[in-house]
Amino acid sequence: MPSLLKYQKTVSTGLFLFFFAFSGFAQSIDLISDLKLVDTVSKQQVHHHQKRDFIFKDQPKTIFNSNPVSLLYGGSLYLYQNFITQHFSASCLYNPTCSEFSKLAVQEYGIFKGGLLTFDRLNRCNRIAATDLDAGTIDLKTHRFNDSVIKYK
Amino acid sequence: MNKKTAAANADSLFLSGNYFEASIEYEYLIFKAEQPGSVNLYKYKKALCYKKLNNYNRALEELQTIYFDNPQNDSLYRFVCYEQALCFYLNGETQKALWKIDEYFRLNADSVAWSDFLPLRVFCLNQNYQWNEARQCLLSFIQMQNLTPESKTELEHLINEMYNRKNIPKIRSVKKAELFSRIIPGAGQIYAGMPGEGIVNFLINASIIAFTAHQVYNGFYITGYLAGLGFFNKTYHGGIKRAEAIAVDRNKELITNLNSQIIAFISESSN
Repeated sequence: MPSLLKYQKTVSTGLFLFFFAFSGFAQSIDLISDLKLVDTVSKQQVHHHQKRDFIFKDQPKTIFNSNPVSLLYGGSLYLYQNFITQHFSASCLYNPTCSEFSKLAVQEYGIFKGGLLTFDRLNRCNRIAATDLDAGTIDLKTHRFNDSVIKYK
Repeated sequence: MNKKTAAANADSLFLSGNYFEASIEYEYLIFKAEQPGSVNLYKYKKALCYKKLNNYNRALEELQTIYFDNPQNDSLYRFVCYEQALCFYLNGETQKALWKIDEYFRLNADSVAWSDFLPLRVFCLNQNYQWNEARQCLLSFIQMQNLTPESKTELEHLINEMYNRKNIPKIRSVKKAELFSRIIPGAGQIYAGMPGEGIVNFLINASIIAFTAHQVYNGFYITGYLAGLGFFNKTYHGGIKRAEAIAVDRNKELITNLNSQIIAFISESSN
């Protein structure tokens, strides 16, 4: 009896796999799921309400992120990214932008190395430096030169 | 591996959600296929894989290569046109989506087959602010659904209400926003719907002008020109650009909200 059950189980599994493999998928229009896709993609394309987070948000308090220098840096960066930057006509050459690069560099390497990298990046973000950049590093979506913080490990 | 097994394998990969692997299998089948009909079918399926991977541009590239000798008599033509229109829309190319839908309507006299295209056409028309045409299109879509006459009447009433002059989105003119910001810094942002940002922009520009005037008044002409007017140039033109961007984004948000309402409305009516 157990062998019969085992045989039956094997046959039914085999049949399921056979039909699954040879069934294919018929052409049909799934209108509702396509409409949901349209809704999701359209909502993603609306982006002017996006707020940038405070650099030390959701981090446990340590001496590195709660000292006055770090707080002053984080606060001014938050103010700049959310309230000041949109009023300037100049746009950054790089991806990520200088302020975002600074934020990521400080998160990755700490305030000292991150600060130095920020200083270096700000010095490189000008029209003279642009003449020496590799066109192969242009990001196709943002149309800016890729310059990730990981490069500076 | 024979072609039948490869096709089954590709389809099963697609059905199990392995879209990238399925696209490779379909590419193999396109290479091996001898009949134009089979080539078109596999190209269509490969495009569906890219659509599932959210790569609408690549999906469009694949769909554009499908050629029909006799589109009116090929059942695949409808699906290819639909996917092309959908991918154009998702890729932000509304005009091309509308053009594709209208092309299908012109070549296919059977208006029953138009039903699936109509919601997409409504979204495109909404993007162009062609409210009356969009309303007519949505009403035609409701007429094509298998609903009771009472439900149809109720839905028609809802559509007419949705496209009522009072309820249609209040679209901001991008040109006006730019012009207002050019005359009074910050005014364009206020017009486009972000008064806080407009006031901040006005204050920044006013303080820079005050600084420049103060420097010039005290005889520091070079500081006034370089630090004052140089900085003012950035914030003044930045404000104009920002006002335009806010107006574009605000309009996009309003249209997205209207389209979301329509999607919810269609989903509910189909249940």
